[in-house]
Formats: sequence, C-alpha cells, structure tokens
Amino acid sequence: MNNTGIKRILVALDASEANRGALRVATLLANQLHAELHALFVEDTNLLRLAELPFAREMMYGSREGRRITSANMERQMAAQATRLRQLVEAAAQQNQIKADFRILRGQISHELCLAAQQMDLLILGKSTQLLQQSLKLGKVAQDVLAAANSNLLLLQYGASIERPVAVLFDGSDASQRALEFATQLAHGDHDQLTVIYPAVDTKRLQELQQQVENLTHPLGIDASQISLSSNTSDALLQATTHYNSRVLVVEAMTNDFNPEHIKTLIQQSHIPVIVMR
Amino acid sequence: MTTPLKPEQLYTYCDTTQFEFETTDQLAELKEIIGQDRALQALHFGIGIQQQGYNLYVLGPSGLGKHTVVREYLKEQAAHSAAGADWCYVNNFAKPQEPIAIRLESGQAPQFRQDMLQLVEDLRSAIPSAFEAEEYNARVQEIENELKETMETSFNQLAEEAESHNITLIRTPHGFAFAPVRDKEVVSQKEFEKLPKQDQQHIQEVIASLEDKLAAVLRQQPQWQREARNKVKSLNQEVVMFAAGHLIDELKNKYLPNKIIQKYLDDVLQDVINNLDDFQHEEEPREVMGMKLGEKASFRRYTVNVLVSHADHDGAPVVFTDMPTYPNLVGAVEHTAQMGTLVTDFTLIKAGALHKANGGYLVIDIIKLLQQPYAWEGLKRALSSREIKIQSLAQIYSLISTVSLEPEAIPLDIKVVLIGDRMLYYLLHEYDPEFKQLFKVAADFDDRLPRNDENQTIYAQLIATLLRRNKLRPFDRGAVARVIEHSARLADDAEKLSTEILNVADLLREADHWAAQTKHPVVHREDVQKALDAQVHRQDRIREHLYEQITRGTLMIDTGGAKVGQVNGLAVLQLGDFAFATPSRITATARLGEGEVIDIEREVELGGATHSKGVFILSAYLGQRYAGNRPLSLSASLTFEQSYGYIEGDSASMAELCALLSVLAEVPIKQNLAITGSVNQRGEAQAIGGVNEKIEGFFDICQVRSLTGQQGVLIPASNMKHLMLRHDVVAACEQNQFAIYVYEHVDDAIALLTGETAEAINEKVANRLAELEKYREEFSKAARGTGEENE
Repeated sequence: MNNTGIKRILVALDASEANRGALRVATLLANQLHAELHALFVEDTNLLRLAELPFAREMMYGSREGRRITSANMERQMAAQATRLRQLVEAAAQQNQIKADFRILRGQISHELCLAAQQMDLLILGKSTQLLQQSLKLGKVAQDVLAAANSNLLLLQYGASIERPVAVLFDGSDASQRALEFATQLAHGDHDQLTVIYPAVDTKRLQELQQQVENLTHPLGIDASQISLSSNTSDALLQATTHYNSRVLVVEAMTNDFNPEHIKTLIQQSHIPVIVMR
Repeated sequence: MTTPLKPEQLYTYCDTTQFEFETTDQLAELKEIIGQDRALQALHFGIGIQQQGYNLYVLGPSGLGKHTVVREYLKEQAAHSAAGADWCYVNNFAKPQEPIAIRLESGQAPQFRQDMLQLVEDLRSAIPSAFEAEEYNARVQEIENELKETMETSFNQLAEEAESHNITLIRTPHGFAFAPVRDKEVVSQKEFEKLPKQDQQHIQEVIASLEDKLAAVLRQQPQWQREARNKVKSLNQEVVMFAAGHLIDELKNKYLPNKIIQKYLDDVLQDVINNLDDFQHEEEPREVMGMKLGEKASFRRYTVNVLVSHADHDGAPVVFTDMPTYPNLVGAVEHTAQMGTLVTDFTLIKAGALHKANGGYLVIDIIKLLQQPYAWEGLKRALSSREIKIQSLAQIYSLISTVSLEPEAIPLDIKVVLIGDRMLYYLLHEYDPEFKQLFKVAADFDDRLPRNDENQTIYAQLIATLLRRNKLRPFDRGAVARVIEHSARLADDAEKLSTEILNVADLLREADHWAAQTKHPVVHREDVQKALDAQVHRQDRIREHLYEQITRGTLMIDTGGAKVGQVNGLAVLQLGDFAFATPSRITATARLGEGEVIDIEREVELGGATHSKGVFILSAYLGQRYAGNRPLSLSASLTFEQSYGYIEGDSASMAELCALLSVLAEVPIKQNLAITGSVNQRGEAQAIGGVNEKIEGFFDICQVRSLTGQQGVLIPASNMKHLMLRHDVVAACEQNQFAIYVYEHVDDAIALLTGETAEAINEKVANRLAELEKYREEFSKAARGTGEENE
C-alpha cells in the first residue's frame, strides 16, 4: 500500500556504475511503492561540443596518451550507452514486474533532469556522476539538481542501497510529515526499524513533536526509536544516524532549523542515501 | 631276535601314581611356557637388545602355541615399557603436498586435535567480532577517506587549475577530457574558431599541459589504491594479531617444548592473516552443479589428523596384524571422489600397522606377509631406513603421474616379530640377503620335550591351565595320563612329549564334549579315548576304502603262506592331519645280467630321490656282500605292485633287499609278516618314521582277515623307542595273536622272514650268483666263438 503519493519515479542514468546502482534502487522503490519507473538518459551537449573541437582528447585509465575524440565517435558512444541502458531498464522492469519506460534527451544534464523531474514524484540520482565514482564530493550535476529541482530527490552514494533502519528528521512541518510517512513506508516490513530524529528544540516543542509522531506511528503499530539533536547542524544529524546505524536518511528540503546549505553539506558528508522531500 | 617284543615295550603308559591330584581342579595354573626354554631365551634376547636389525623370527611347526606365547610375552614386556608416542599429520601451509608429521607424548594427540578445533572455533568468533568493532571500521574508513581525499585533491587541483584557464574537466563515456568553457558551457567549434589564433594556440597548449598532468594522476591512482590496500592489510594483520594472537600464544605455551608445534602455530597465524575472508564471512559448503563438495574446506586445513594415539592404553603398543597388505603395513593416502575426480589432502592419510606399533612391537605371520604383493618389500624398506614413508605402490612404480601427497616420513623404532614355519625361515635366510640383516634373532620353538616324570607333571599342569582357560570340565588322573600318552604318540616317540598345544587343546575340548554326552562331571580316561577314536573315525574314510580293496582282493596283499621274491612292505599315507599305513606288495625278479638292479618306480618316474637312493644302497650292499671279487652277473628288478602313485622315502629298502635275497636264494618269504626299515651299505637296519602307523596298518588288515597268531611286523631295533601303539594292537600282542619283532641287520630280517638261518640264505644266494656267473662266462665264450667263426 503506497501512502506516500509517490507514483512516478524518475531515475537519471549514465554509463557509470553509480547510476546502475541508482537503477537498482529505483527498481526496488518502484516495486515497493507500486510506482511507475521512468528512466532518463541525457546526451550531454557539452560532450558533443567537446567532440567537435579539433584538439579534443579523451584521457583514460591505462592509456598514457589518451585518444582523439570526434563527433561521430561521440555520437556512436552515446548511442551505444543508450542501447545498453535501455536493455538494463527493460530487464529490470521485467524481472521486478514494474511498469517502466526509457527516454533519451539531449541537452545540459541538470537542466534536462530538472525539467523532466517536474512531472515526477521522486528523482533518483547518483551523488557524483561526473568525476570519481567513489568521491565524497557532490558532483556538479547533483549540486545543480539539488538547487533547482522541485521534486523529491534521492541522492545515492556509490554502491549504496535502500536498507533498514530508516532515519527521518521530523520537525512537524507538512514536508516532514510526508517525510515521516515515506520513512515509515520504507521501514515497514522488517521489525519496522525506524528512527525519528528531532531538531534541537525546547522541551515543550519536543513533546509536541513526539506526540505528533506517536499519533502517526502508533496506528501503524510502529515503535520508533527517537532521538533529539543537541544542535541543529549537519554534523549532529550525521552523528545521530551513525549512532543508530541508520542506512537511509529522509529529510525535508527546507526547514526552520536546517537551511539548504546544511542539507547540501549533509548530503556531501553522508555515506548513506539521503532522500530530500519537498 | 626271533622273540617278539613284550607288550610293555609296545606302549609306554603314563604312571598315574606319580600324580598327587585327583582332578585337574587341584592343580595350580602353569605360569611358565613349557619346553621352550631355547625359544624364550631367544625372545628375551631379541626383545632386550636395542640394536638395528635385531628383529625376531619365531619359527616352529604350527600348533605349538607360538602366537599365544609371543602375545603373552610381548604384552608382559610392553606393560613395563615406556608408552609409544602419538603421531599426527597437519597441513604444510608452504607445501600442501608435503604434510608435516608431529610427534606428541602418549595420549596428547587427541587433545591437540581438540585444541586446534577449539582454536578455529574461537578464531571464527573472535575475528569477525574484532572486524565488526567500531574502531576497526573507523580506521578502515579513515584509510578509504584518505585515498578518496588524495584522489579528489589531485582531481580538484587539476580541475581548479583548469578553471583558472576557463577550462573544465569533463567526464566522457570512457574517461576524462578538458574543454574550454564559456558561461558554464563548453565552447563550440565555431566559437573556438572565432577566437584569435594566438588564444586558440594558448588554449590548446594549456589543455595539453593539463592532459599530461591528468595522465600522471590517472597513472598514480592504482599506486594510491595499492597503498590503501596495503594499509588495510596491515590493519587487518594488526587486528588479527590482537584477536587471535593471544589464542595462538596460549596454545603455544601449552605445547611449549614441541618446536614443530611452535612453528606450526606460527604458520597457522600467518595463514589466518592471509585468509581473513574465510573468517570474516561464514563459509557455505562449496557447491557445484547442485552437489555439495564437502563443508568448510578452508577450515579443514587447520584440522589435526591423529594418525596414532595411545590414549586408551598404557605401555608400549603390541600390534598383531591379520591382513598385512602393503597399505595396512605402511599406511595409505586415501582419496575421495569429487565430480568424478579423486582428490586428497592430509586429513586422508591413514595409519598402517607400523605406525600403530611404533615404539613397541609388531607381530606378523610371515606366510600372510609373503602372500601380499610388495608387503615384504615395504616392511624391509621401513626397517632398513628406520622410518615410515607413506607412498602408494602406484607412486613407487610410477603407475600414475597425478600429483599425490608425500607425507613427511616418521622415524621408526620398533621390534618386528615374524611368526612362521622353519622352511620359510631357512628359505628366506638362504635367498634374501636383507632377511639375515634385519631378522638376526631366531626363536626356534621345539615341538617335543623329554618325557620324564617332571615334565609329565608339568604337562598335567598345562592341561589344567588349558582346561580353565577354555572353561572345560576337570580331568581326572586317568584322563590326564591318556592325554600325555597321546602327546607322546603325537611326538612319534615314547620318550618324548609333543608341544603341539593346539592339538592337545582340541583333544581336551572334544573329550569334554564326550564327557558331557555321558554326563560325566569329570572327564575320565574313556572320554579321552572316545575323543581320539572319534577323531580317527571322522577322518578314516580313505583308509577304510583302501582296506576294503585289500580284503576284497582288489589290492593283492597276502597275510598268510610264503612266496619267493615277494614281501609285505608298509607305506604311510598322510591325508591332512591324519596319517595311516597300508601294506604294499613288493616283488623282486632276478635273471642273468650285468649287475644292474632296476628300480621300476624310478624308471617310470614314480619314485623319489630318497627311494632311489635306498635301492642304490641295497644294490651296493648286494655287490659288496656277494660279489666282492667277481662280477655280479645278475639283472634284478624291484617294484611296488599295484602302486600307481609317487613313492618317496627309503623305509622299504630293507623289504626290497629281502625280496631280492629271497628270489636269489629261491627261499619263500612268509606273507604273514610285514617289514619296514631302511638299510645301509653294510646291511644294517636304520630307523624310519611312522612306525606306529605302519604296524597298525598291517595289524588292521590281519585283524579283518582274522588274526592267526603268526602274523606280525618287523621293525628296526632303533625304532623300538618310538612305539606307542594302539591299545587293540597291544592287546593282540598280549594274547600272542600278533607280534612285533625288531631286527638290527638284514641277516636278522631275512631269517625272520624266511624261517631259515641267515647263513643258509647267504649260501644259497652266493651259490645262485656263482651259478649266474658261470652261465655268463659260458655265454661269453659262445659269443666269442661265434664271432671268431664269422671272422
């Protein structure tokens, strides 16, 4: 039963292993939430322009000199990438018996993703698609999408997957209520491992928040772990997730206690997938 | 000499008055081994001497109780000796094909195996715990972060340097590239071409420079990753040392004096470090095509294969092996089939008898050993090299080329006791040079002992001991005496006792059975006699058949009357354990000739060498006695009538001589008599074997045809001491219905057989030979005359 309102999931794909991980997660969530899966491969215009340049060279592992890039060559590579990704998506959809499609767009990646995400309920994206797969750094595309996209966003570290326990930051806002519902949905099924993290607020407010959480989780029979932050910083939030060994963190994009820069820092430093609810 | 032997000379009774007991229950158990002083001294010497090659061969006929004697002696010796060492095989981590042998004190090997099992169990618990600790994860994370930072820093520096020139580092489908940017977008070709040539040149130069740096960074990445891996490996070692080191140290302290175990445990620790994954992730049984290939293969290499343990007994080991095949002796490396392939490892090494008896004694039947292919060679090799090296025959003879194990050889300190008969001992001694080097002590078991009062008393004690061990009824004095008398008969000598304990034990059991049938609480003499009679009856089918042939006249044997050139000889037949004799008609013919005596049996190859020798001897005697200074002008032939089998032995040579003398003297021989004995070149009688059976054989035929009082048997005087005749024969002699005569010379024999004096016979023989010589001379002259006329 999907109470989260997430019916359409968009997953951004490129040839990197990180995005294949994103496809695995997207398939899992689509299956769990009974949602449609839309896979999108953006042919980067920057790469096509690069290929037109007479001196363009591609530097690779194991090659001292690199190799010359041409437009035709780049077109062929992108077409090949698209074919492989289409096959992957189709195989995943068939295996998990979900409804899925695969689209190819050409343009600037973050721009096209943000546009496509407007029609979607959740955009799934690798944290770092541009450079190093295992980088802690938030890639340019991810940064741009995080700043510009209107949809809910799931940012994945390389090799990560959606597992329990699930942690959720709850401050009582509408977005955080949706975040809690989503987290509840993700936690459901395996001892309902859910951790609710409260921002650093006064006791009265905390009790109110706890009551709200109780009202939301009790009918579902979920006995969530609860922790209150000592300070409203990304470090404190990360420590809380580590303490409870959380494997997924659900937060709202804009709260009274955490501004977008906090969230960006949080995503950058987190080793676990972060779902940003808008 | 014409007087028959007295009944008391025919059977030496055991005097029961010498016994102070009523039944054997009153006799103490016999502790010592009867009549084997020489063998026991040899055993004592062979076991006591601690030099190479002083292994033992216990020789003697079967049934003497050699196994029992050796077993009891060795067990007693072993009980006072130091316990043998335990041996086990462990994995050789450097060379898995060459497992390591470890020696431990007696009984320690199972404990060592248990300790290793416990160690692995503890490691499987301690190591994952150590790697799950937050501190470990934090340190791994630190190393990974360091790597990421190093890589990111390199890329970031490169990206920042590029950005400073309005150039971006961009990911391509297969790598990275640099491109000039304007407003965050890569400059198109057209825009680039619009740039001044100088700027274009500059951009290209900067990008070329950046590409070189990027290539350097990319080249360094594997190096950074390798360094990070090494750091993680070092960390892992540190963690394993922390988690496992104290466990290994505890075990090392426990087995402190054992340097091989110390080294092995160090190797185990290193192997654990090298194979951490096995401990970090619980290993599932390997499976190929749905078939399990054995469980936890990776932990199997830490097991201890206890080859030999003496935990369950004290003292040195004493091992008796009934099936001394090559692998049962020197051990074997077994294999298991996996997916149609035979595989093995050190856990499949199996101990042989040499391993089990190492430090003690190994007893083997030589005949069984020699019957097994290569077993004798394997034993000799082990004793010569003083070590046990497990090698399959296929390996030794290069019958297979696949790699197998070569377990480390184990030092051998052992006394091997071979048990066998005398013939094999002498054959091995003659034909196998290594035998005399390796088995220097012969313990020769005597099959007879003197029959005197003292030994008869000890024999009674032996009987009592055997009865108790076999839980049989007690024997009264008469029964004991009858057993002793039978023992003398077994020894074929009235003055000896047999040491064939097995035969005696069988008689005791059977006598007990017959006593039970007649409800005797104590076994009496008649029960023993019944057992003996039953033994004979069970086995005498062939004898009965032969006797029937004689009494029906199919086999022609006369027991009355007198005939020229015909005498009753006596032949013994041995069928299994049963020996009996039948009379055999021996005939002789003589005619003019050139001095040859033809042994028809030899001519048709039915006579053995000894038999032929007997005939040659009597021929020599004939020539020497009657034709010392003139040619022997006769041609004689001798044969066993109606004999279609092989004849061996010279016990009929006296009979053959008498037949020949009879035909020469033309004096008939009494057919109511039979004769046995061999003759030498001087005409003297020599003792023969089986005298009792021979007498009984002729007696039986005479008895069937009814005893006349004239019938009897002539035996060499030197055989008199061997007489232990059947009671019915003795009884017949007592009643003068049968007689046993002894003789010392052919003159005595021929006189008895013919009823004439030897002088008379000799004169007739001499006359006959002179007559033949005369005829021969006449023939020679006539032949010469005919020849001259023809010329």
